[in-house]
Amino acid sequence: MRALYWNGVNDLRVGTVKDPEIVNPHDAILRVSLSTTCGSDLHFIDGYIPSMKAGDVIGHEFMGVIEEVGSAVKRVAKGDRVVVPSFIVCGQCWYCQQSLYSLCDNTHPKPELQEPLLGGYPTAGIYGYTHAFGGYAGAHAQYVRVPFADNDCFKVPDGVADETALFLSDAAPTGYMGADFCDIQPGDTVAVWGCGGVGLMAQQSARLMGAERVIGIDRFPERLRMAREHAGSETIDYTQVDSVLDTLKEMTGGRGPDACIDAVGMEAHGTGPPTTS
Amino acid sequence: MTGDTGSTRRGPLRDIGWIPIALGAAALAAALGGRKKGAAALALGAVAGAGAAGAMRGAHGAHAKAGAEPAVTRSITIGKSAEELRQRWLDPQTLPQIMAGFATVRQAGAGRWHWKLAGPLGSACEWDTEMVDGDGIGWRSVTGGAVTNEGAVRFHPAPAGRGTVLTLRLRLEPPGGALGEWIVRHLGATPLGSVADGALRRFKNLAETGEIPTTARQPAARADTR
Repeated sequence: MRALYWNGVNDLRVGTVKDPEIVNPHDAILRVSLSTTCGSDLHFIDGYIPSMKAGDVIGHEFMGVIEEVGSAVKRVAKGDRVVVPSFIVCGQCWYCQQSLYSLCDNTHPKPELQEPLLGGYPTAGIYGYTHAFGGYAGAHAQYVRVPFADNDCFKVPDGVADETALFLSDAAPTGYMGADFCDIQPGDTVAVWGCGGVGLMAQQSARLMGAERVIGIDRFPERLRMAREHAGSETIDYTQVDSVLDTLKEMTGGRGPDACIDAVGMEAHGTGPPTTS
Repeated sequence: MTGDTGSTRRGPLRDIGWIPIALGAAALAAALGGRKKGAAALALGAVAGAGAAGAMRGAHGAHAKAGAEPAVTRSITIGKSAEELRQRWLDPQTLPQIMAGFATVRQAGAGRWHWKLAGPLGSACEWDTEMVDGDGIGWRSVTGGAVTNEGAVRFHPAPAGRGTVLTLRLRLEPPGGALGEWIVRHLGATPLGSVADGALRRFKNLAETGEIPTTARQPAARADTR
């Protein structure tokens, strides 16, 4: 099959690799219909996050149609159109039972690589996201192996387009969770730093959860426009105001926002004190 | 965590002092509506703050010199009953799977196992073990072998119905001579600790999910695709 792989720092290539196969009984093979780029990919592409190996197939935000299932798969079947989250989770361990799926301790094949670095406990495995996070082949490819398919494959109802469902893989739940943390009450104003994919999802989620007003902050006109048009947000172009804080205060009767969401993330440029890097 | 002979970790990441958390919110957002948000937030904080903890690795655990007491005791909590775990451990397919990466193990009669540790240039270190009576499950090498190996597994209930605490005690005295020295070198400063940790983890994987996570036989644009 054809796949996009990491060949070295800032060196991605498309090449032919072998097709994935069923290895464990809970596996499924997915024919990828859509796979999208996450801002998090930038961190290993440019070498900021180590432990990539040349030849690793990348991509962790995707959906597709099930081609084949392993002997223990029960809830999904060949032909199902499904969207798959980035994290691979067993559904059986203590963490999964507490809904702390990303901390599942049954899906990382190489936890001994990660535990010394993360304070002694591993995360769940992630598709196409460094060997420290499991070393699983990713989904920027024609096919991908999905372990624990019964837990990780979410069927997409008829009438929901691929282009709509795709973002349930990562960007939408990420933004949703940011808004969920805000415990939004009627009348609240929520400010969201960043109007990229996750920021827009956070803004829309805040609106869904009952925010009276949502304010998106960014500097790119096209992003600010999308925040206004798609999320119904008011916007601040931080390059056009003397103080974001003062502007927010003025917009909210001196109170300031009731909740703030940082949807910018690391390795972005900032306006704070210069960093050593 | 007694009898640890050091905490130096081996592997390709040993020179990396820290790993920034990229997926940050995405990590826990993947919970898709977790019901314990406070716990999730704490967990995220713990993970995000782990860079510093990673840099301090090696500062924990007992530091004993290689060649000290060649035995370790390690525990793991598994969400199954003691009886289920006992049966799983005694399943003939279990030991070969959970010891893979350390030694090739095959059954050699009732309660008897043949262990083979591959050395350099085709050399190998082999021994047989037999079951011994006692609390839990136990085995020891039969006399006359090159290696003295003993193991014992015990099961205790975890609190509040959270399954079973499984404790593994493992003892391995390598043979003398060049092969013994190679084994000590090959396994590094924490041979048995890593062996026990890996075996317990794979046993937990098997007991809770019926499989061991792997990247075997996956696609990649290189020869060794793992």
